[in-house]
Amino acid sequence: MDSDDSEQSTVLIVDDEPALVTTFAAWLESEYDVRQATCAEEAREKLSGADIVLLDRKMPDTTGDELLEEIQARDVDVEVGMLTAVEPDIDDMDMSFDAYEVKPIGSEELLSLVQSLEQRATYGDQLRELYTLAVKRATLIDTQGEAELAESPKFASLTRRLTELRERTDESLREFTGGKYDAAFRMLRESDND
Amino acid sequence: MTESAPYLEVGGPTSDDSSIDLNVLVVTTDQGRGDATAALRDHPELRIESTASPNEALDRLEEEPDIDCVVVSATALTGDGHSFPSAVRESHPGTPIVLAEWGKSGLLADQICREVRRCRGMSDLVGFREAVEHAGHAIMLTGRDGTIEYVNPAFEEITGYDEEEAVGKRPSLLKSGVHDAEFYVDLWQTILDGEVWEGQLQNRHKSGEVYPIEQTIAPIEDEAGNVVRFVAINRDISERVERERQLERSQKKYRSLIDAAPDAIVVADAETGEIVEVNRAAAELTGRSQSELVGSCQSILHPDDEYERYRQLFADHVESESAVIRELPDGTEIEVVNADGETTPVEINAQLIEVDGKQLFQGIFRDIYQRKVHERELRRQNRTLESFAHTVAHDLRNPLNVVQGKIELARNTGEGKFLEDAEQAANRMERLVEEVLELAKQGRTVLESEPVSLETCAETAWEVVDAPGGVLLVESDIQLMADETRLYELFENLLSNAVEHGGTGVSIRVGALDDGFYVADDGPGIPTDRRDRIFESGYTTSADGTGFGLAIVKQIIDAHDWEVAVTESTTGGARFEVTGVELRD
Repeated sequence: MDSDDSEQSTVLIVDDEPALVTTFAAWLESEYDVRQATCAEEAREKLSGADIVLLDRKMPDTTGDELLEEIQARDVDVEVGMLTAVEPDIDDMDMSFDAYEVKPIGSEELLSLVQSLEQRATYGDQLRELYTLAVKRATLIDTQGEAELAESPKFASLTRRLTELRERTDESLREFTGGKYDAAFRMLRESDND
Repeated sequence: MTESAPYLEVGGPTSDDSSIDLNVLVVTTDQGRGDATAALRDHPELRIESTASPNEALDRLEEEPDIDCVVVSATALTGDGHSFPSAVRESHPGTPIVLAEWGKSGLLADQICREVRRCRGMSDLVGFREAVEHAGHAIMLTGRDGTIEYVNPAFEEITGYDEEEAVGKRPSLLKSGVHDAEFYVDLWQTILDGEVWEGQLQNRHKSGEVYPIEQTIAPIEDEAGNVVRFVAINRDISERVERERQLERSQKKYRSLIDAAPDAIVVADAETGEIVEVNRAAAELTGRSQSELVGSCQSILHPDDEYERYRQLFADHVESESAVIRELPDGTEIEVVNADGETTPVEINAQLIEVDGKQLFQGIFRDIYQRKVHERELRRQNRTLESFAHTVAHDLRNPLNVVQGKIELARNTGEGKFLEDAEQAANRMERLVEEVLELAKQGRTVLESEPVSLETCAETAWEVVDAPGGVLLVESDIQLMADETRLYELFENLLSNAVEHGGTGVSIRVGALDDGFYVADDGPGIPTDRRDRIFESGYTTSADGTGFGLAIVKQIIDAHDWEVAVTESTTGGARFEVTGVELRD
């Protein structure tokens, strides 16, 4: 992650609906350094130095999905939360986002989304992955039918991977007695970031 | 009756057949008894009993019905005995009486045998005649020239002619006129050659009615082998023929019912799988003739490479007797293959039936290709509907989020401009809802094509488009066949689209093509890579657009079976070309 001189994280809002960009910006302004973009082109220009991107999916020209692929391909160290009116399907979970929220979203929800992405940025790879998988699984449970999920091999493998990661994380934590979780997290963070 | 008559083989002294014995009752005075028994002594085939009293003889006859012959001496007939012969004839008409003094001993024995034979022959003849008289079949005896000599009562019943009317006439009396001369020539030829003629023919009843008979005509030959008479036996087969006709009619009816059935019907031997009957629809389904199918194995109906699976399926359903088979055990479709190797999905209504003790498997094959097509189409429509619903939900969520967000901002800051923003977004939602309803309506509306003026329609639509500085130029006054209301909506949406992207000062030209019309503007145009997406529901590149306008245009075009292409106008703007339109001068 690029470090910034200010203590505030930088949030880039990308949405082709200008009224929505300004609304989200107004909600976040007091706590974050906010940048606004209403198309992919503008987003590309403002991406450098951003800590968090809130990304709309359906946009004319380059879509949010395409922009997300670009971010991954360029290995930009940024947390991406998809913020879209599109209900995700199971295949969408293959994308490399870190969070997924379906519009409409209120100010509190938006703040909490940005906070959790900000928090995530401090995790090591193992916890990041754990977090992302948990988010994806929760998103699917919220948006898909139970029967559909029960039949999906993708959902099953996602759940398996999540369980595995949880166990590994729990093991790491068990090595620290006396509830010294801060130390444990520090250790995880440091070892992961090596 | 000649010696060779078959009725009785009684051995006389000369006969070598001594197996048949005769019971002889000798009635004679005591003095004559010795003579009579002496006369028959050398004939062991004659069992002799004797009595001196005619009265006792009568009693014996009563008691012993197997007495074949009575021998009586003249002496016994004296006095009370004189009425004995007539008493015997009366009470036992078939029993012959021979005088004991008839001749020498050998001659008496011969005479006894002859008399027994004669009497038995007589009684057989009587019985024979009786049988002929009571026969249910009409029997007619004719001379060699065909003249009728005798007819029995059944003849009258069947032909309507009684004995008096028939005897002396010729059988042509019964001719119906149905058969030609050759038929009768053949008949006569056969019987004159001494052969039996058998066949069916039509006769005419005395009442005029023609009826079918089954006739056997046999020649009767004399001892020299010459045909001297004919006996004809006729059986009225009207009822049988009628029954056969009914059967035939009902079979025909059954056949035509089966043949007219829209589903293919195949009947196969349950044991061997050999096809024994198919209907016309089966021939059509398989592209093979009915005669080619019958006799083939049922596996001819199914794809070659699936032979074993279908053979198993057939065997399984012979076991289960009756079922509707929709798929193979692994869930794949049941298919029938035609002569060209093309397959058709079917559903088989299978039934095990028994005909004449044979187990048959009757399969009614229903072609479910159309049903499958409909199912696929339905699934496609469901997917489209689902995706449409997602699009609508998506497009409502954005402005909804704006409304909610701006209201929250207004509440927090007390600034009224946020409410204006919220109102604008709410208005967009309203427009969106209206356009979605409009789009849904397109699919339902039945089109009624009529000649419509391109110019009038485009200009009327332009009037409601909000474009104060814009210009519409219609360069043609052709008439085209279209649903006027739908065409108006098409122009309204195309023109609005031009204003949305080209601004309120946009300049639009509408004109005729060889088989359609175009709408071109001088706006920014549509990049090539976006042209195939612009008709999707909800696709928009404009902040104020709903993304449904061009989807509506596309639906109207599809409903008319027209085509649409997007190109670039001479000024670099967008140009929509609608073709496949029927034009009127």
